[in-house]
Amino acid sequence: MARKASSTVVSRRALLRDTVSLAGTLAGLVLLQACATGNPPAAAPTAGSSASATTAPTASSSTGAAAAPTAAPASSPTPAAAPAAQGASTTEKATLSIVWRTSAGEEKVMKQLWSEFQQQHSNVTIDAQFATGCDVDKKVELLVAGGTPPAIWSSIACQGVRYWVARNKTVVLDDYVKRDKYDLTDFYDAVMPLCHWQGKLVALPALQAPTLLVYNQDLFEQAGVPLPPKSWDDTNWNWNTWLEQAVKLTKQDSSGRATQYAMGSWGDLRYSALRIFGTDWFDLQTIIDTGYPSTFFPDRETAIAALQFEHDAMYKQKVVPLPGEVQALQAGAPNLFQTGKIAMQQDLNFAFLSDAPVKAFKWSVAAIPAPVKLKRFNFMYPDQYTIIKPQKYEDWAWELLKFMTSPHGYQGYPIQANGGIAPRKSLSQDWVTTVQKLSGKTKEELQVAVDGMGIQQTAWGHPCIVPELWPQGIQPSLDKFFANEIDPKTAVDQIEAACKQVLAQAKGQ
Amino acid sequence: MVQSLASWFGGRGKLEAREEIAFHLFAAPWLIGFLVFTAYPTLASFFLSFTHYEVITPAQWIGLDNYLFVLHDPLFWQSLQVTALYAVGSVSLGVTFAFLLALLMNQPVPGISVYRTLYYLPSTISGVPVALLWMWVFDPAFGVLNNVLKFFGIQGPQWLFSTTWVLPAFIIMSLWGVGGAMVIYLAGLQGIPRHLYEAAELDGATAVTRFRHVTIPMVSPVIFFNLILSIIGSFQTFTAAYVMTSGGPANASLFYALYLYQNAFQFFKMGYASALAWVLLVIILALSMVVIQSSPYWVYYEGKLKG
Repeated sequence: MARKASSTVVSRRALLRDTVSLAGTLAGLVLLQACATGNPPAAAPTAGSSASATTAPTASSSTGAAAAPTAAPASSPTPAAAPAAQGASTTEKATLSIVWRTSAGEEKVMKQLWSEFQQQHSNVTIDAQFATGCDVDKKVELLVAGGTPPAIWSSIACQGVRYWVARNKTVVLDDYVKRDKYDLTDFYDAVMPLCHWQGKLVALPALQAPTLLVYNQDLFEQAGVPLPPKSWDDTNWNWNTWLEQAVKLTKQDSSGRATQYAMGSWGDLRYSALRIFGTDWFDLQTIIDTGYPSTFFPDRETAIAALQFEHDAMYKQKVVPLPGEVQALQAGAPNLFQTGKIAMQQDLNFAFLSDAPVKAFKWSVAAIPAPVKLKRFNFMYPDQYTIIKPQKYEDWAWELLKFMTSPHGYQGYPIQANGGIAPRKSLSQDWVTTVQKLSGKTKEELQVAVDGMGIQQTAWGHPCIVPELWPQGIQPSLDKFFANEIDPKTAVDQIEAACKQVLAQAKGQ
Repeated sequence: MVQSLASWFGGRGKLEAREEIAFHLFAAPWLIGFLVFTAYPTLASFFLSFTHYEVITPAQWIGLDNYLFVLHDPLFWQSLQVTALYAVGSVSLGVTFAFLLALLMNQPVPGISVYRTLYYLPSTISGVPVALLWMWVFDPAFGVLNNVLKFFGIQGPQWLFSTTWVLPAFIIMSLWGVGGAMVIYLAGLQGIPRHLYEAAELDGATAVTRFRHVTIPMVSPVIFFNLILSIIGSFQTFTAAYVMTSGGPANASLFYALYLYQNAFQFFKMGYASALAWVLLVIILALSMVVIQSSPYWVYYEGKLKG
């Protein structure tokens, strides 16, 4: 039987109607599902909800060998007391999520630490997710937007703790600290200001990474140049003496092409460009206090002189390669220093482990040269842990935070995981012992990093709440300056104008 | 079940209703995908472009502020200028080179298919590997380009490290993908009826005249197609700039899409990034409309009467 032609025709109106109906039905189903699976929020934690206080970190708990964390709970320091049975938050099973960066060394240690925590708290499960680089932050953003933030967060990727703090997304920890008599006195002074915001404790330190100078001992000896000193008090080791040595440490082939440079680069320009000469782009204290800078170039003349010095070292004395030369010099090596073509490089304490595989030449560490007249003003990167709101199991998140910031937690991360320095003063020798084993360097060499922490101040980008300040305010003019297109005074003027504009935009939004 | 559904579809015949249901069921995966992954994000971004939205905090309605801010944002204008210059350079060079290559590849010489393959091959690789490859090509010290220039006694520029040369570098690099357009031109060239050339030859037309009055008009719809695609593509340039320069030096390679990405995923200004996306849509739409409106003056459609 012949079918009617109309039987296979679907009118546009009908299609639209049916599509809308289908979408509506689906949306309804999703909504119902969402309502059905939603759990009621846990009772808000109270300062008095803990059964017992956490043991304050003591010298004895931190001076033991920093062996790799083991699965046995007995090997842990006194476990943090479980929160009192107060409502659903402590009696029901809790799943705590954590997002961490993908890193072979860290992943193993972190999983070990979290496994220990789970063994100590049988009704807690830790759901760990790993991501690469800045994707860690994107993942966390989505979890927060979905109302299920990770239990604890650390500034291990691109976002600083102030990003969350400035948006009122962090749990205030003062009550917990008071309740559990958590001892804050063991932390280095330089790392604590970043853990506070408007008088409240909103984070705890995770690690600190001080800067130092790594040098190729073979190249120094071949050039007959004295080795740089390890003491940060030695002010004879300044940028003038550095330049004298740098010239001797630079070599060119017969065609005039450099085969060896005194230094690979000026380091992380955001912080090192001016601080190694004793000044900065902004007033650090105001940024720490408010999140915004208020004064630009506190010492304008020194800043201009510093930039001129760096420029001359690249274009006149030619002891530092131009930006365009670095890729070819590095030629696939993990970093420029490891090529053996660089006599010195500003680096972080992580260099002890990252450069440990180098066997082709002898290398060591020293203090970064001092400013000729001003005081040393080197920087360090401080990382923090914080608890992002809203937490379904806030008490457990605090317990995990205490565990991670206990001496045992720090012995795992950062000491064992990546050779980072724990922010507890009492653990400085644990770091020396552990990294000495892993890197084969001497105690004297490792002590350079420990001593550096006493004088180094936080990188301004960490307390600053305007992430555009560097890429939009400073970097463009600095690019032009280091490409030999503008002079240092023009660069400074342009940077100030651009930064003011960025700040005005940021504050206006 | 079918009966009740059939009645819901308007009380038509059983077979008719079943076919309609089948249609909807088969169309549903695409429709749902379109609604969830295309239509909803598109509409949501339009709504968000009128808000201050940082993902972790609720969107705040700010009306036209994002669009007004666009006008006063120096980096918006910088990124637009970079992208427009790149579009002019890469589209004009790309269209010309692809067309010239297609003419060469259309010659009846032995082994031509090998050449066609060789010229098409680079366009099969794109994205990050190509960007990394060209970073080495443009290396000021050891790059192949500067070494070739050095052979001729020319001191090569700093390319990706120079505010002057970074954009020309990206334009040169864009020629890497001309193989794709070349194949389309080649298909167009091979579709030109032989008798048109024969008739022109009988009329005494030279090779240049035949090219101008037969080849170009007959291929003009293909040129038109490639032009539109190239313009759209050039305004969406992202990967190479992201990998090779991150917009530097001094924002000299800050492409529009990269600036949009930075706002969205580095500074988490989703509202502003959404506004930038809609402005980009309008720009691309306007340019496409200009090209489409101009097409009656230079695109020849066989069989279409003039006027």
